[in-house]
Amino acid sequence: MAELTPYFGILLRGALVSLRLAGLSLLFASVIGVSIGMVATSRFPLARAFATLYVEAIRSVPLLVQLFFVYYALPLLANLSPSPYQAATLSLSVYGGAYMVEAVRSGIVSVGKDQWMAARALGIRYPDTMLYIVAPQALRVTIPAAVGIFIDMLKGASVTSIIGYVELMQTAVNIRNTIYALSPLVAAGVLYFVLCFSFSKMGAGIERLLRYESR
Amino acid sequence: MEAPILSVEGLVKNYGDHRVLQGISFQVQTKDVVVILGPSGSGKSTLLRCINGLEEFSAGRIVVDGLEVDRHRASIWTVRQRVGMIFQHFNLFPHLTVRQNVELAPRRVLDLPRAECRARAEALLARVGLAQFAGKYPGRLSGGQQQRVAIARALAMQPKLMLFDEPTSALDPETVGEVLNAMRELAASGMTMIVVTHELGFAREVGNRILFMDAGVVVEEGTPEVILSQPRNPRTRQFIQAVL
Repeated sequence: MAELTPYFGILLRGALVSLRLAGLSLLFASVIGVSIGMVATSRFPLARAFATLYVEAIRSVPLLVQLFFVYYALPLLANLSPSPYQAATLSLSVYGGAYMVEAVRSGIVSVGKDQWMAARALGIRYPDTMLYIVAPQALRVTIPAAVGIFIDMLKGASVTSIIGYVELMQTAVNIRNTIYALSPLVAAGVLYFVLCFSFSKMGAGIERLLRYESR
Repeated sequence: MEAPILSVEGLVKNYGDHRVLQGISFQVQTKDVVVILGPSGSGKSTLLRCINGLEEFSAGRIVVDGLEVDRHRASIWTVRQRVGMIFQHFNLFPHLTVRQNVELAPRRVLDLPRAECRARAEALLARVGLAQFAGKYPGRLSGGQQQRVAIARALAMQPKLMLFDEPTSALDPETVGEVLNAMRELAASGMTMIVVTHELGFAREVGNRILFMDAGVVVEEGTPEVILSQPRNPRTRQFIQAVL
């Protein structure tokens, strides 16, 4: 382990890069999740079909394949040449977005029809019903799921090392190639664990906060 | 005679092949308390939900306070503001406190100032005897208390007509009375009400007209004395004997 000491700073920076990538992607994924999640619960069958298509298509293709598509195929198809960072963010956002759609959709569906009916009977229209009645209740289901998705995205971010994006995983590989030892990989594993486990604990805490039945 | 607050003409509602309402017609005048009786599945709840446009109907015409009920017109929202509804299962918003439940619609729909919404909520909660529960969440209240909150919530919109869809059917027997009392007080204050219920005592005492429905038609209509004591229709007679 001693040989690793000089590299701790670099490893931590790699972890921060991974966090930033996953965090930014989570932000985009959330925007996708909320907007398409609402489409997925709309009363228009065609709109719902579109949302389902997106979710199923993305969830059925490995992240690595999607990443290669964005990084290698997009330049050929659309004359766009994203940097590894851009390709990583885009792939991870679209990938996480599909899962977020499901999280948002199941959150909205978890709020019973009787709530919509009560709101309508009071004259409250769709936007206010969504904002003040459905969304706050949907969060109880959506937020814990979103924490899980974020953890998956954080781990999934390691895949982007393959197109040369230097995050935690690639940092560890680079150090290993310098000092010829396994310890950098072990350290990366520990860092991933510490991060993911903390977020998981945080998620459980949020879940407790969102429980209002017993208040 | 002034124009009725509610007029239902030839109301028909189909669910697929099944005709739930087969041509219902009746009128309600201001300050009427109309009780609708009938076996389950007779279309009572569906009828109520057609009146404030929660449910689409297949044929016929409903006019509330001069407004045609049509789910595809913007005026349906005005209808809903003027018609309060009480559900069997209360349908309170569980993530909001009792006071917030009552304040929400006046605040978001009528766009009233915060202070006014709050004053309105507090006055109504006091009226149904729940002032001390204002800061509690509905989950902490008994069924009877929740239903009284629901009444306060509906009244906060100052409706001209109140619909009650089996308001006491989901309650423990010991809390039925407090809800009926709140409804009795409401009727005495001059509120126009349509009440779907199996509480014959309430129907007799508070109702000034009873409609008996069976299989999607109004079988018999009259004053409580007539319907409850000397029903002419055999189906009405059968039902009332069974409930008593």
